[in-house]
Amino acid sequence: MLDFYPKLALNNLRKSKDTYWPYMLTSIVCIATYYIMQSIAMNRGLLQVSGGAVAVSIFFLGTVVIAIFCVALLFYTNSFLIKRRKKELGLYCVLGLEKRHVALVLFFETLFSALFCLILGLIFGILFSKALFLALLYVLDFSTPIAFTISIPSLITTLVLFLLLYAVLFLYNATHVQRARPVELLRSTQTGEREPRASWLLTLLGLICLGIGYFIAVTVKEPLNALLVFFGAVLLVIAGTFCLFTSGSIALLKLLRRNKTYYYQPRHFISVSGLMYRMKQNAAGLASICILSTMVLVTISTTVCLYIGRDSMISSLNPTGISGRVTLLDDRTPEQLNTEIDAALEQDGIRPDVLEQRFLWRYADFYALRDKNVFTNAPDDTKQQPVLVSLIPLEDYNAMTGQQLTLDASEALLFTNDASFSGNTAQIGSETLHILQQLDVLGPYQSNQVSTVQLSYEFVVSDFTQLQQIYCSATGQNAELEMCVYLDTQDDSALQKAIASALFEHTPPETIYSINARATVTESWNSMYGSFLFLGLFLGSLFLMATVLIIYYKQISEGFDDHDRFSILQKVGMSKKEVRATINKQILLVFFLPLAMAFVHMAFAYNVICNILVIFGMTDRLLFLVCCLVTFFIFSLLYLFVYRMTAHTYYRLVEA
Amino acid sequence: MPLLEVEHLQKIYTTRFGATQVQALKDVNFTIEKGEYVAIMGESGSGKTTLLNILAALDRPTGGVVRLSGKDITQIKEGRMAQFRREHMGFVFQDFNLLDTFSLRDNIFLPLVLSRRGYNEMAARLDMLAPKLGIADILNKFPYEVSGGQKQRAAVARALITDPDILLADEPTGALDSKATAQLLDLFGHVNRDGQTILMVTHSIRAASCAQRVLFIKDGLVFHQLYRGARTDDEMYAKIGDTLTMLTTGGAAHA
Repeated sequence: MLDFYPKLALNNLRKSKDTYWPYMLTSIVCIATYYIMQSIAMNRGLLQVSGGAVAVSIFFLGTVVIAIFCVALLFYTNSFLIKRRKKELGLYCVLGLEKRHVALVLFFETLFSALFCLILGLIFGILFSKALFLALLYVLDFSTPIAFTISIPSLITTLVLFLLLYAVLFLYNATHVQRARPVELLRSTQTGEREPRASWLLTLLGLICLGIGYFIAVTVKEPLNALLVFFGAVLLVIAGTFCLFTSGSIALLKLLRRNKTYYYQPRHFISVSGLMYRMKQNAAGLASICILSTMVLVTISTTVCLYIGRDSMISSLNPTGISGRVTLLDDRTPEQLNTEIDAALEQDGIRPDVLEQRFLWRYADFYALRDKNVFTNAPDDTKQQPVLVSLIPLEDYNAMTGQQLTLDASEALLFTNDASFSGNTAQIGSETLHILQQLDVLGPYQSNQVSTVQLSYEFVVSDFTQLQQIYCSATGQNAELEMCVYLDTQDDSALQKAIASALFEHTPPETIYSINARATVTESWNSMYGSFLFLGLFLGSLFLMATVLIIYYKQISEGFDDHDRFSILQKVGMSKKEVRATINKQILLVFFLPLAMAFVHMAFAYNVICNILVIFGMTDRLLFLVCCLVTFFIFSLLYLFVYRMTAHTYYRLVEA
Repeated sequence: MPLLEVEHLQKIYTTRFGATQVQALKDVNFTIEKGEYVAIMGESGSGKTTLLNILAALDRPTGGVVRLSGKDITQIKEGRMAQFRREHMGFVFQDFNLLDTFSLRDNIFLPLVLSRRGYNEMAARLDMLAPKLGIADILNKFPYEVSGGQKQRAAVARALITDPDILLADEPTGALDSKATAQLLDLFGHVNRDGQTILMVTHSIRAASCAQRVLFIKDGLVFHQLYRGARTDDEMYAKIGDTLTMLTTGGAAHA
């Protein structure tokens, strides 16, 4: 007798494979995923590599997200399972099992499935964490090998988290059974359902939310506002999606039903009314699928885009191997600084002629607001997006380019990355400058290859007196000169780093206050965007799994419900073929509505995401567009695949 | 020519592994003329449900012929079957088989919609039919909003709206209380007097006593049949009762 309950529990698990296996599979994947993320975040070797710290902190964030997500997902699937099984559990009660016995059966079921999933999940986790760790190192471009070990603390954390989760799930199910009465349990799935009501108010609210969300997303112009605005828009769109799926769909179907010539056609008749009930039960699920799909698409396409585009981003921000800024406390000239640089390099045994290119020039800059061709000093608390105005003496420009240009006091040359600027005068403060020429090249910069995070205007003016005067008339202060230093060598990261450190160590104090070797920047960016990509793909696949699972359970629960409906239809004179066609139409609509909606969301989000990417230095809109389209395409293929798989189960249930 | 001819009908069920065979119908023969109202009676397991399923073309016989208006329905191809059933037969079931997702009106329209009739034609037919069946004012309600008797009358309307050659009813009073049963049988009588052929399978003596003729099935054979002649419903009731007693106590066949 003692082994009766465990046996019954085992038998139940084995028998209800249509519903239980996907749940177990989800658990296993959740456990494996969580363990992998934990073990990577806890890897000590990672911390010691340059840039590794960034990755580790990103991954810690990742574990939190995954934990929350796993809990939500398992709760969802569990609630589905227990709903499906109410009848079976009710039958136990009728057959004479007491509620505590039923709870005991549930306990053993939970225990067995927990053990099964934890063991398999951890095994898969350990196996795949090795592979994923190697993949991560590859993505991060870490050349130094890092020891990989099985992480005991991660194992323990994972075990504790999921055992707790299973315990909570068991308690939830047990109280559910405890509270219900057998007759209700028996009948719970077949109470007649009322026709859903269409709430026009909710529909309208949904439309408004979605409209505002889209409007914000499309109209946002300034990158720095984009991030903040984006969250607002996302919330609005989520709310709108839920409203529209829940009541908008029903309102639409009711409208269709009112149109008699449309409604009373075999193709539409059964679909429209069937869908109405379907939407009532599934609107929330479908809306979640839509949101999840959008998340997958956005996460993956952005992270992939950032990762692919990182090289061009780095080179647009660091056009030369070494770049730096110097605050000028005296009136040192670029030539003097060049000599200092030579001296510093020689101290570290680096021959100065490894520097193939040197661009040094003095400038003074301030933030300004531009109104067409008029630039005024930007107040600190401005709400508008300011532009950066730099004034450069002609002397330095000539020295750098080897030209012998002369300019009048009212004349200037202009280099800008703002394509919207036109005209040949510019008014800065009270001074009006006549622009002789728009430059295509300034030092290492080329006007068509510059980052547009910050719109900047570089004016080459006749001399220092004029520079002071313009600066003063615009800002009311005296200009403090700074110097740009761009040095280029062969593409040799060790050399670049050595030069940077020589300059840092050996130039006179307070001379070069910021100096970057591109190689160092590349490493930290690689690590940051590599981690982003890794996390993006990881979360993306997790979201995808959730999507798949929700779809699958949706199909199954509908299969059960539709079985009766379609058997009636067959009795009343519908052929198998017609039944299939109707089923097909319904599933297709229900299935691809979220995907279509996700596409629309994505299309509207495109602009705002582009603007956010600009903050990260990514300005290549075309690259992002390609990333989005490719991601969407692959995602659709996967979605189609899942559809095929689940549709099969569905047909089996309906036609059984 | 009779409307429905059943000759040497035979149905054998084979269990999944072919180990045992169950002969549900051995050799069933009978005919029904146009305008007749026939009840088929028999105990559970006598084969009457199998017979009805075959007549309704939901199941195929192992042997024998079923002709409706001269056309052998056992030879109709699977693809044409649904349409044939829709156009020539009307069905009334014990558990109504109305769809929860449709209003009564739409439930009644269902077979016509499947046959691609226009809305105006459907509405005109329903306008004629609904008052007769006493459901004119509940057409916009949903099945879960009305009583069992009303549901069954809606189901009858669904069966009649296609103007079928024959109305097949499977235990139509099985789920109804006595008042609703009386109303439904009354309705069947009216419909039959208007010329509708009805074949009803039942084991309710009350229901069968309204028919003009009662066929008794036992062990896969038509065992006996009873004509109303000039009998009243009550006399018919008594006569059917006697016959059933005789059947269960094992009298000789005289079909």
